[in-house]
Order: sequence, then C-alpha cells, then structure tokens
Amino acid sequence: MDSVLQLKAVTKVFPGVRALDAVGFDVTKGEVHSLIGENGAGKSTLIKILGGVFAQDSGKVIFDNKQMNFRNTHQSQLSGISVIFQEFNLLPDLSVAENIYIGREPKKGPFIDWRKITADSETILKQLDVNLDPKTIVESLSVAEKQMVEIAKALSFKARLIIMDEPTAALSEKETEKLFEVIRALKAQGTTILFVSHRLKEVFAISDRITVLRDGRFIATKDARQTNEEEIIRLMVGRDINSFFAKSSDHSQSVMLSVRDLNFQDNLRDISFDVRCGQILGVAGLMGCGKTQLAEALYGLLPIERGEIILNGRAVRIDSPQKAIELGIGFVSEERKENGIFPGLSVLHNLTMAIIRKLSGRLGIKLDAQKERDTLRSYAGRLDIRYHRPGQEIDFLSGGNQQKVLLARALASECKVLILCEPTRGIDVGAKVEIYSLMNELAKKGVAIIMISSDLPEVISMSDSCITMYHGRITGYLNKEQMTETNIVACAVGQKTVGIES
Amino acid sequence: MKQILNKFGRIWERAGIFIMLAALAAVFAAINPDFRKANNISNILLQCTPIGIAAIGMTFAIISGAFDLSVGSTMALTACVTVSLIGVLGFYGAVAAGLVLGFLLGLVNGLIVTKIRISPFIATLGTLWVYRAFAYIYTQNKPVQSTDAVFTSWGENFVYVPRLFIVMLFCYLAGFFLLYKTPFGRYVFAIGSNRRAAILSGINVARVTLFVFALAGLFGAMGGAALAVRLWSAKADTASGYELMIIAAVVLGGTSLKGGSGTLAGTFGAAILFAVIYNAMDMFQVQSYWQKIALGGILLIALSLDGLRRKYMMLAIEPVQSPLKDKGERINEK
Amino acid sequence: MSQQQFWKIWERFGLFIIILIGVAGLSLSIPNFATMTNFRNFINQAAVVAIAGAGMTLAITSGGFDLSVGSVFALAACFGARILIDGPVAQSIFVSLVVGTGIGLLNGLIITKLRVPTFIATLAMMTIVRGAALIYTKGRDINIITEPAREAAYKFFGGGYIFSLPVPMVLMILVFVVFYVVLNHTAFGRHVCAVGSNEQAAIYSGLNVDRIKIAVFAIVGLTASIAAVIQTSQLMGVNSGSSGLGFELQVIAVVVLGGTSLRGGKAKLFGTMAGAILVAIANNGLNLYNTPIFYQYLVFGLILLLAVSMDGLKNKFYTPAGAWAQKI
Repeated sequence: MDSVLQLKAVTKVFPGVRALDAVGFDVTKGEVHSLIGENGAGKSTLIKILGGVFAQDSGKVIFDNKQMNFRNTHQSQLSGISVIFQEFNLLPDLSVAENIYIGREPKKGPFIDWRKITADSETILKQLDVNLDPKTIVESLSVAEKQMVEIAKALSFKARLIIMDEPTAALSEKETEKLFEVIRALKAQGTTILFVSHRLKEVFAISDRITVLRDGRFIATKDARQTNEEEIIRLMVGRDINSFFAKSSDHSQSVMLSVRDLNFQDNLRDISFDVRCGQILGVAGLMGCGKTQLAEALYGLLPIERGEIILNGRAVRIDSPQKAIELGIGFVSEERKENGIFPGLSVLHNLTMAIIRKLSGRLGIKLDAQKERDTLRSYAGRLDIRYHRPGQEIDFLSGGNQQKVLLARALASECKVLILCEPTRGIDVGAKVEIYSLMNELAKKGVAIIMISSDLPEVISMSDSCITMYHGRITGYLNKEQMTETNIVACAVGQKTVGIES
Repeated sequence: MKQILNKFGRIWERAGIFIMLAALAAVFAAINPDFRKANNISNILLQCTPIGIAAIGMTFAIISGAFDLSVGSTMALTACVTVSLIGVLGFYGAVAAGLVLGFLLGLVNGLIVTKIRISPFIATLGTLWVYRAFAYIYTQNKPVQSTDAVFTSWGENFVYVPRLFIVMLFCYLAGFFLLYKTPFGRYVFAIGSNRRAAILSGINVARVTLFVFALAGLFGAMGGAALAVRLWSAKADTASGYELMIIAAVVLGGTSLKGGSGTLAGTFGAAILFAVIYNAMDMFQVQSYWQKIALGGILLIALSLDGLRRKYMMLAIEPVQSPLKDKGERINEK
Repeated sequence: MSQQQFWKIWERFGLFIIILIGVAGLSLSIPNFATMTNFRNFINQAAVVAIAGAGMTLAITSGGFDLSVGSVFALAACFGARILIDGPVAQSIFVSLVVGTGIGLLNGLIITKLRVPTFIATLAMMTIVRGAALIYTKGRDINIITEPAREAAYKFFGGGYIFSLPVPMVLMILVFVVFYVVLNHTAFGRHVCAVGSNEQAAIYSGLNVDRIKIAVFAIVGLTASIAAVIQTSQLMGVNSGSSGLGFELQVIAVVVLGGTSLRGGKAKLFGTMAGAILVAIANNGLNLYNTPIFYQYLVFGLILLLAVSMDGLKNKFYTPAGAWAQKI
C-alpha cells in the first residue's frame, strides 16, 4: 500500500517546550487517518507544519514520495495538501465563489470572469452534493455550510491530502453525518483524509487508522477495527482511567430553580422544568434546538417574553448577568475564547473578575490585593489549576486550565445554581476527569447544576436526569433509567417524546 | 541570544519610555549646558502639563477599547469658558465650572456611544466638530483673557517646581488609584480585553463606558485649564490637533490601541518626553518647521522599534503547557 | 410599511433622500440656491472631498485608514503651485501627483515593513509632511501668477466645463466609476476587500497582503493629490500652513457618512460621493445664509452624528441582551 505522507523524526521546539519530539508515522493513500491526543500533545503544531504555517526544526516531511519544505501556506496548498482549520480561513464579506478561488480568479483581460468562476464553483459544489449558490456572501452561511466551502476550496486545489482540524466541533449530528458522507465520497475518489478530533465515537465511526500523540511524541498507530476506546484513552493519557461516572442522586432535596412557560421568539416555547439542590440536570439537543438560548435566558442575556422563573421559592426577573450573579446564578459559556477569557489579563484577574466588588474594602472602592490572592490560591488548589505565577497572562495556560479558571470564576461568586455550557469541550481527558469530580463535589454540597452538552456520553453519565429539546420545545423529561443514547437522540430529533403528558 | 533578547524585550516593555527619556535628556544635557538649568527644567515640566493631564483620561479610554477624538475641542471649550468666568466666579469657581463642563461633555460622548450605539471613533469625530463649533460660538471667535492674580499665580513655581506640574502629579496619583486599585479600573481593563466576557462576568459595560468618557472629558478640562493658565488666555482654536498628540503620547507610553492593556506611568513618561523634545528643539534653535518633522520622525522610530520588538518577543515566550495561542502572529494592530 | 422594509430602503437610499430634501428645502428658501453658478460652487467643493474620499474608502475597506491626507494634500498643492509659476501645466500636475503617490507609498512601506501601527504611522507622517510643506514654502503663501495661457489652462481643472458640466464634477464621476469597476470587477479590488474582511485568512490564502496595502496607500496619496490640484486650480494659490488642515477627518467622516464600515471588507463607494455632496450642500446653504464659517463645524458634526445614529439605533449595542444578539 502506498504511503502518501511520511513523517520522519519531525521535531519542533518552542522556547520552554518541545511541541514535537521526533514524531514519525505514515499515512496511507486513500485512507481516513485520525490524529488523536490531549491538548498540548502536538496535534496543532503538526498540522501547522503540514499546512506551511511554519517549518519544522528537524526531520522530514515526505509527501507523494517527495521531500517537502514549505515556506508558506500557499506552497503547501499548491503541492496538494489542504488544511481546514477549526476557525476556518474564509473571507466573510466575499462570495462563496470568490472564497474558493481567492488568488486564482479566472480573468478576462484585467477583469474577473464572473461566468467562469461561478460555473467552476457550481461544478465543485455539485461534486460535494452541496446546494449552495456560489454568489452567496460567506458571512451569511451556517458553520456547516462554511465548512463545505472550505472543502470545496480544497478540492479546487486538487488536494490529495485534506487535513481537518476538529471539523465536527460545531456541527449538529445531522451535519456531522453529512460531513462523513462527503468524507467517504472523497475517500472513494482516492483523496486521503487526516482527521483530528477529540470525539472518540466519531473517530471510530469514520477512521481506518488512528495515530495517538502524547506530549509531542508519537505513541502508536492502531487499526480502528482492532482497538477500542479504552485502549485509545489509555494510550492518550498513559494511565488507566477508571470509570469516573459513579454518581448517587438524592431526590429528597428541595427545588432550587423552577421554570414555568418560558417563551422567547421561536427559540424557546413553553419551557417548564425544575432543578433540585444537588441535582445535575442535563440538557441535550441538536444545534438550534434552543438549549443555548435557555442558558442565556436564565442568565439575563435574553429579554424573556412570557414565563416565570422561580428561584428558591421567589419569583425573579433576571434582566442582566449582573442581576443573575446577585441572585446566585453562575454561568460558564461554551465559547471559552470568545466569551470567557480576558486575553492579556492575568490568571488572577481572570479568576476574580466576577467578585472583585466583594473583595474590595468597606466602601467597595479599594481592592484588597491580599484577599484576591487568597481567593486565587484557594480555588487553584481546589481545581488543580496549573500556572506559574498569579500575574501570568492567561493566554499561556492550556485549554483545560483556562476552563478551570472560568469555572472558578463562576464558583467564586458562591452560586446556588450553576449553568455549564459544554463544560469539557476541547479539553483533554485528564482535565475532563477533574472537572467531572468537581461537578460531583458541588452537587454534594447542594448546588443545582444545569449542564448543557452535546457530548452524549457525558450527559448520560453525569446527569441525574435530563431534558431534551427540539425546535425550542422540551421533548423529553428523562430520569436516570430512561437516559439511554437511543432515547435521547430520538427525543432530540423529534421522533418521540418521553415523560410528557399530553 | 534569545534569552538576552527576551530579557531586553521585557525590560523595554515595562520601562522603555523612561529609558528613552533618560537617554535623550542625558544627551541634550551633555550637548548644551543650558538644558540642565533649573529654569529650563521647570519650563519643560510646565510645558508638558496640558497634554500630560488630558492624556490620563485618554489612557483610560484607550484601555477600555475606545477613543476620544474630541478631547482637543473639549480642552478649548472648557478653557474658554473657564477664563471667561474668572471675573464672575473667581479663579477656583471658574475652574470648577470648567471641570463640570468637561465632565458633562464627556458624559455626552458616553451617552452617544452607549445609548445611540455609535462607535467611539465616529461619535467623537462628530463631537470634535460640534464642541469646537461651540467654542467658536461662545467666544464669537475672539480670544478670552484674564489678568486675575490667582489665575496667573498658578503658572509660577513652587520651590522651582511649577505648581501646575504638582497638580499634574496629583492627577496622576488619582489616576493610578482609580485604574489599579479599584474595581472600576479592573473593569476598564476587562471591557477592553473582551467585552462579551465582561458582560458575562456581571460588569455593567454601559455604565463603565459612560464613566470612562466622562473621565476623559474631566481630565481634558483639567488639561484645558492648565493650558489657559500657561497662556493667560484661551481662544476657540486653542488645542487644535491636540487629540492626535494626546493619543500619540498614550500609545508611545506603551498602551495598546486594541485595548485591554496599558500603563499610566508610560503615558506620564511620554508626555514628559514630548516636552523634552520640544524644549531641546527650541534650545538648539531648530526651525519650527523642522520640529514638526523631528517629532513625527521620533514617533515613527519609537514605534517601529516597538513593532519589531513585538515581532521578536513572540518567539521568546515561556508558556506553561500549551505553547500556542492559536495564531502565531498578531494582525490588525491599529 | 414594516420596520424591516423601512430600514432596507433607508440603508440603500437614505443619504440620497436627505440630499433631495436638503436641495428642495434650500431651493425654496433661498432664491440664489437653484442657480447654475451656485450648483457649480457646491459641486466643485464636493468634488475635492469626494475624490480624496474615493481613495480613503479603498483604504478603509482594506482595514486601514490614512490620517496624513491633509498634509499630503498641502504638499502636493505647494509643489504644483510653485512649479506652475515657471513651468508648464503638465509638469505641475505631474509633480503634484507623483508627490502624493510617493508619500502614499512611503506610508504603505512604513506600515507593512516597519510594522508601525497605522494610526501612529499616518499621524507621524501627517506632521512630517506638514513640516516639509512649510519648509518648502518657507512658511509663505504661494500665489500663482504666471503666463495667461498657463493660468487659463490650469484654471480649467478647477473651474472649467466639459459638455457644459463642471470639470471637477466630471473628474469626480470618472474617478468613482473607475474605482467602482476596480473594486468590484478586478482581482486587485476583490483582494483589497479580502484583506479588510479577514487579513489572517488572506495571508493564508497566499495573497501578498503587504503589497496590496502598499498599493492602497499609494492610491490614497494619488487621490489626495488629484484633489489638491483641483482645489489649487480653484484658488490659484496655496497657504502651506492651513491648506488641507483638518482635511483627513473631513474625508474619513464623509466615507463613514456614506455607509462604508470602519471594520473593512465592505465598500460603499457611491455613498462616499453622496456624503461629500451632502456636506457641500449643507455648507453652501450656510454660506448663502451668511452664517459665520464656524457654524459649518457644528453642522458637519451634527450631520455625521445624525446619519450614523440611524445606523446605530438598529444595533442594540450596549444592553447585555443587545450586545449578545449582535455578537459584537
């Protein structure tokens, strides 16, 4: 079998860290090859080297039996490698066709040949079985559609190797399935796919072989049919992870939060449910079902049109996050980078931002530096947050540690209700475990937790009960026994309802 | 080698402006002994006060991610109003009136930005003209003067140090306290760093922004009063073009135009640096036209050094675990 | 009419509607307004700002801006005026254009190669170039007194007529048509939008972003110098200290008025032209009413704020709910 890509002893060193340490493995032509590893394992460094963002320090990259030394991204593209980054490299104000052919526009004299560029784009999009008008401005497309544009771009370069970095992170189940169809079609045409993902279920669904990296080193390449999730996790983490999902639930606790007939435009319709102290309520559903809006509504980010929120027996109006925090509601957003982290600010400042009022002197004017540092130390200890010094910029912490800082920020305000949106997205397995045990600990202390997640195993193992949403409505109230993957998925796609009296 | 560059870069980041200041001052003093005379030094300190004080408010604004292009016009308007009222309210009363006016003008800026939801650049571009027009209308394009004794006395020295400079020091102390020791100051950084995260952390972004603009107006008025004291008068076209100089001082001092990081000490140093340069150019009898060129040139040199430094600093950072902030370059430095 | 429809119409035609109202109102209230002479007056004024505005629109679309255009304007005017006194018209104009384009190139190089932030770079150039202009003229006015034939030829650019339309107006329309075609139908123009839209992606896509930016700044300088030629031709003289003072903010304001977003990526070229015309009409009206010149500042600022308010009120910016929905 042909190797389309061979890596030999590729090394890349940044000051203070060996991002890649003599990594070597092969990718066979026409296979779907997954690259797995914790954060900091070296996956993104490797992708950037293959994509031409920067060069390796030593070692060889051999593509199509030729040694490659890319000096820029364009060279990499021209030689047949296309990288689709997680954040996409699209130009939002330009059309689909322009994005696909940027820099290589067909011309008639000095002017762009609009007819040809549109026709060519249509051809490629048809190959992908995607229904998009090439003249659409990219800004208005959905995430899944933008991804298709990126793939179309890759095809227009006649890419022989397409590298996808966390492609399913923001996709719904249906869109993921569609993506997989496209991948299989590409494979049938002889294109090789390098698939980087955290989601083991998907990796096993689509891959032929799986390569595991850890701490910048190559660990193993396994045939997907000859291994399983536990083995891969073990290879990733280097130790055995026991099932950490043992949880006891206590139904005698009082109701902390009650939602009745919540309504907001099309996104929330007649939402009603209860959460008890010490309970973890999972909220599951596909993209666009309204679970994000639900979280936003409970945190004062949406002007609710109708409905009641009853907190600890009292009806409340939550019209701003400030008010929500005062009422004892904490929130961790799903977009860590966009909505959570204060880049350029220190770990200390990031953690204490929500409570500095409380940490200032009598008049609430002068900050108490000692109290601040103590707060940081105590939460860093509890959550095992790793950093060099309090004044260190948060940008340099790993994703997992950053998420813990955000968690600490919410916890520091001593909330009674904690809303978590995708709490372990993009986080390595080790940190995941730590966050799960923290959640259990909080629940034991009586905090009511609402966990919104698209990671089904997570929902099933961590929640005491869960609700499913579909098109803005609740389609299922599932208790522990009823929370099977089949049930949840069925309710999430609107196929059936559970626990709803008509 | 990388270690040395790294260390140098760190030092420069924190104290670069003072190093430049000390170096230039030393050079000028060595070349021309007149430069070192107490008389001259107090002159320099006097020169830097209007811009130095106004730049305090601007620093707050830029850290919070905003801008105030109208500060020059605010300085002029408040200066004219203040001087014209000295006869009526006495010096201190007039100054107080001017400060209140500045605060209100800043508040209006803030309201336009938060309530009518226009970007700070455009909003203050508009008020730059409107406030300047008010200055013209108020004074009917005639200069306002006063020979009030208290007024002019503030332009003098207190044991060799200009009184105005002492005022500037107090202003900076107040600014330091506000920015680094209060929740408000922390919020200013937060908003400039990531507005959405600030909202989620329970910060009332609109209110903080409003106050930031009001502060910019307040310190602008203070700077305008200082200007009036120095000139013993005020005109409608006073302080034209000052807004850009003030922003330049803030940026030169090390505050990033992107927001979320900044240093008041740097602004202080930069304001004095400007004054030193102007003074030296006068002293060496550089034609005023060449002065313009020199100033622009210095700005360029200082900031290209900064730009190149940042480019090389990126390679010398020590991360904890994950080395990469997703992108290796910072683009869109405006 | 629903709110949606209203905003759609306003977005496309709002500026023109205001212009029509303004013209109608002024025609009715001032007898001198609706005359050919007066039309020529304000359209010639508008052309100067508009042409520089075309270049600035390009710059803003690419994600940048240029604070030095006022000084470039002055320098180009000074060179042109001085040369015209002894030399042929063609030489005078040529030198003006070269000066403008050259400084624009310099701006571009400083920003791309030395990595100086655009704000500082163009601010510094603003003072440097102004200094250069003052030195070149030794601070004195230049009055163009030269052979009658030359004078007449030069005056053509600022005050003549082609097909009974004022020359500046024709030049303005020409410039805008060329810019429109370039921006929308050439690869270069699309790449300029790309750079403003997502510079990082543009780099990754292999576009030579540095070269594009340098070209853009050169064009800004070029349009500024064209504007300078027209105005110098109108005034037949230059004052190196006051020429173009505040021009940069006027030009930027006009671009913003026209609807081009400061974030880049989207250009509203004809909006810029409309904005320049609107401001010129407003100033013209004030002149005809004999209001002191500084009232123009007031009107200018108010127009800017009013026009942009309309846009702003659509985005609920500062309430948590609003900022959230807008994803700003």
